[in-house]
Amino acid sequence: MDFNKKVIAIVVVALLATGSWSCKKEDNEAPEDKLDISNAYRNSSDADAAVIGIYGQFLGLHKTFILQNELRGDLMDVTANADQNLKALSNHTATKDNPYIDPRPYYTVILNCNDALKNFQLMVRDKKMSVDDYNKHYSDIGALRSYIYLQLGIQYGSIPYITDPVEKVDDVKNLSSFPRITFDQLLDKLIAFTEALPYKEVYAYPTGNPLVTTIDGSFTERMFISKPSILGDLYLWKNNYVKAAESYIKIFDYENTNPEFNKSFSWYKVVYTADQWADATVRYGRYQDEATLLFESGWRTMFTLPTTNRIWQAEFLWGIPYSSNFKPGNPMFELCSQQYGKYLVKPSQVIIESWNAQRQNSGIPYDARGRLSYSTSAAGPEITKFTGNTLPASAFNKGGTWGIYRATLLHLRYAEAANRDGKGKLGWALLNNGIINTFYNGTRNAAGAPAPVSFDDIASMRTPYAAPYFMDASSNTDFRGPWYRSTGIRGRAGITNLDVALQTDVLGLEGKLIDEGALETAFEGNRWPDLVRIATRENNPAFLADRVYQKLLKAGDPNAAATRTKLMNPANWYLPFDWK
Amino acid sequence: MDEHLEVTNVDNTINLSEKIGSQANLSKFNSFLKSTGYDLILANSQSYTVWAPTDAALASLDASISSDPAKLKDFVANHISLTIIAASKGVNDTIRVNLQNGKFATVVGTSFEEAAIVGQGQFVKNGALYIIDKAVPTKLSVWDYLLTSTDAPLQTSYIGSLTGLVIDSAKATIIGYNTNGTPIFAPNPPMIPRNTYWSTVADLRTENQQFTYFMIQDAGYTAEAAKLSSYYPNFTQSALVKDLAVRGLYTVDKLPDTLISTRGVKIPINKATIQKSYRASNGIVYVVNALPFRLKDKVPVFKIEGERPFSFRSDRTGNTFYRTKLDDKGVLYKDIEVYNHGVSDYYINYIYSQLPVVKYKVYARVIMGATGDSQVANYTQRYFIYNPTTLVYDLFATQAVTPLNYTEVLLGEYTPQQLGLLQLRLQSAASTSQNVNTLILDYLKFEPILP
Repeated sequence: MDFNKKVIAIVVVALLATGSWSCKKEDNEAPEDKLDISNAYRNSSDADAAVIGIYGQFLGLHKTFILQNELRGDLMDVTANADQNLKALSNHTATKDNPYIDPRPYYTVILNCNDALKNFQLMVRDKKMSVDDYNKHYSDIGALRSYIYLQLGIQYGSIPYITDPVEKVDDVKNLSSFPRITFDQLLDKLIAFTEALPYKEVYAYPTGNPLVTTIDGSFTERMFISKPSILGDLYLWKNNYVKAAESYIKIFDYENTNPEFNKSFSWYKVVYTADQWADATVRYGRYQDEATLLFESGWRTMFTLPTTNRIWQAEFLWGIPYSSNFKPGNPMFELCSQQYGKYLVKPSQVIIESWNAQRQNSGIPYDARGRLSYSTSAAGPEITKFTGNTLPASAFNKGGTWGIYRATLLHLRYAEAANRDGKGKLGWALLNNGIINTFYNGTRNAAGAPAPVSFDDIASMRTPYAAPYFMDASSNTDFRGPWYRSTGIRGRAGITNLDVALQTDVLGLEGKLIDEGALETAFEGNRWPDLVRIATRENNPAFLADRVYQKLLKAGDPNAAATRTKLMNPANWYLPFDWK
Repeated sequence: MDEHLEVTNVDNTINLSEKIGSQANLSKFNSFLKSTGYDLILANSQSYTVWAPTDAALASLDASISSDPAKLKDFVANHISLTIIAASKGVNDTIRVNLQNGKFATVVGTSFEEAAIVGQGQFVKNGALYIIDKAVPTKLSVWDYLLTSTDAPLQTSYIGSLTGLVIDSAKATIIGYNTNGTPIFAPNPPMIPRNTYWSTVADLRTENQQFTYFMIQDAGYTAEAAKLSSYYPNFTQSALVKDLAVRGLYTVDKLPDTLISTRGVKIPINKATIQKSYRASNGIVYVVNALPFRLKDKVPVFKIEGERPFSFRSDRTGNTFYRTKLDDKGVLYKDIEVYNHGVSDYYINYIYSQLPVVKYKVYARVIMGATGDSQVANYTQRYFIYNPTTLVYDLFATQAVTPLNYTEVLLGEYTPQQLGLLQLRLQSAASTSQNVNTLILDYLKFEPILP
């Protein structure tokens, strides 16, 4: 083990173990094996340690992130065990004394990002770090900060955009005195900053970098934010669809040149397959037979497998693993689990009914992703999506992964951009049954499968658009395009296609993409942002208000109608930037 | 805390035995306590509630009780509960209290069974005392009343005859186990009586449940049996008495016009036919002179569900699909499909027991070619029914299955040779070919042709 790796290993253990690490000054005399601000940034190993430390702290935002993004939406509801604060968050009556809406934890991480960014600059100035190392470290933490700011903007609207280093965390207390900018201004600033980062590859650190390794059974490559994903999201929020699509397709295409063809054809492409390279398919032991739904392989395993597994890697471009050996432990256990947690939240009736309203190609009359995302017992429905690790959970094993960004989400976001950019058919293809099945109009064999006999036939296996909407799914005996395996999101889940008329119905397809986001990525922390983004873009507050209303109505909340009225005013979508 | 256990105004200086002894109008009950030994029990530290009849109430007590020590002890125990019952909260406050003799009493408002509670409850250090204006003799259970009454001799005699002796496994000596793990008992093990009525209809001895039970006087009983005799040859009475018990207590003022028996058959109620009723410790017994069941309830339409097979010709699990789909009207149905199994004359066995003897119209619902179904081409499947005389399966019907037919198809008419087990076989074409030897069945419906 070289020196760098050793340092990382020690620091990772130390930092993940505390779950909170910062560059603040220690009051007592620091022992030599501890980091102090005066000697924290000496070489690139120290920079690695700072990055790991900040991600460890970012992990502490997981619970707040999920609660704000899901409980305020319509897919997650509170159980009878939830306290008043959670209930208030769920029915949009949260007041400033509610701990779940306190923005300060976000800023604690942001200020540490700022501090690290400043020190990276000092290091490169003082030649303590190579320019190459600087580019990667600086860009990584910079992009992470943009991601946190985007979340803050979505939840709080107008916020202070602080990029200066603040050495004392106490300064967070003065947060309310900082000048604030609007969400729209924030997006501009974030795009400008993120776009200007010196290193914007799909993976923050290339293979061979000391930060890309395997520690405690977890693969670190995807622990770090994928910059094209945050850039694409920022552009999508700004309704800059071409730039968004350009960013997203950069991730799609990234593995195209991988010499391992199972990676180049399957990774991030959302394919219906049973192979061990990318089996995130909703599958049955015997077709049509609902009792044979597979739990230990297929769709559910992308949430349960360790990050070292290639099925996980085929889907996730950003996910931070928890170790069962160290704190803080996966907060989803506390929130969701009946057996190992407090069972505070549950799937809403809305999402349960949405799953039940889908139809499978096999004739089974519901969406099995529901069965794979929650279970039902006498104690009530329980979200199991994040607590079913292949390492069996126990009172002491609350591991798992905070999966933040994955290929299906990328499909939905890219499709959203394509749809708005006049490429509804492409959006429809990725949502439904993939590129070939949607675009091919050539010769078919007796079984109905495409069997191209001419160049025209093959040409129809490619999307008829220029970049960033060009996708090559061509396939014959001589040649295969990188997208030839693409089967779409609903195709992979075994769900019937939506109406092809949606291909030319921009608003209709946009709504369906958001609906699919619920079916596929329920409880993963995308719902409230999706509702806000679409309601804003369509200038249609009812898009958001009606959905939240339905959740509250079906849960028997007497204030459902009042909440709907309240949410019809976009100003009320945002949490107060205030605390007690 | 349960409001029934809430106690106020407690006199913690004396126990129940002393409290009762100190009350002048309870001297007779007190003497019963002393002669049965309950005075000592009521002096111990556990908590009891006593409903004590006044001397005036006990004056008219049947001498057969007071003169028989066993009966007297049971009588006293029928007034004592091993728990504290606080004063009732009102007329709608009903509780069932477990008494010392194993029976349960109903305490509603200010009444204890048929007696009224006089004055307020009195609480002492080990319990509560209520004074009641009537003695409450121990009631028979529904079962005991059924066997001991002379109201319906034919019914009583038939149900009584269902008793057999079985080994009392709790008391028998086990000398080893056979290869299946079941015990081997020593020779001449102790035997106890068992009545099959307890397990097949309802265990009417159970004190902690309540039943409404019907006894039919002989003339009505004979008439009902005659109606059933052709459909249930040799088992007519069994078919009749299986639908006379209902779960729950329906007093005469609460009787609806129809009740559902423990076996799921509608019982027609006509209050004019009630000749007598007996309030048992665990329910109520009505003695009626007629109970005219509808034939269509006694000889019902029944279904054999395709997805509940009894057995298969061979293991083709990988080709067997228990399917869940929506039909053309959006109604969910479950069925079975065995597809591409590669066995000529493959079959699925189904059984139905206690099939009444009558001519049936047999319908099949077979849905082929729905969403997800690999079978889309026409094919045929056959139905065979076991012939108990020749001991072979006779071909009953051949069905040409066409795509997306959601209706029930009449297969033919069938009359069983005898009452009992129906053994039916759904058999594929004599072919090993895919799409030809498929089997699909939602259900078979047997509709009796009744006069």
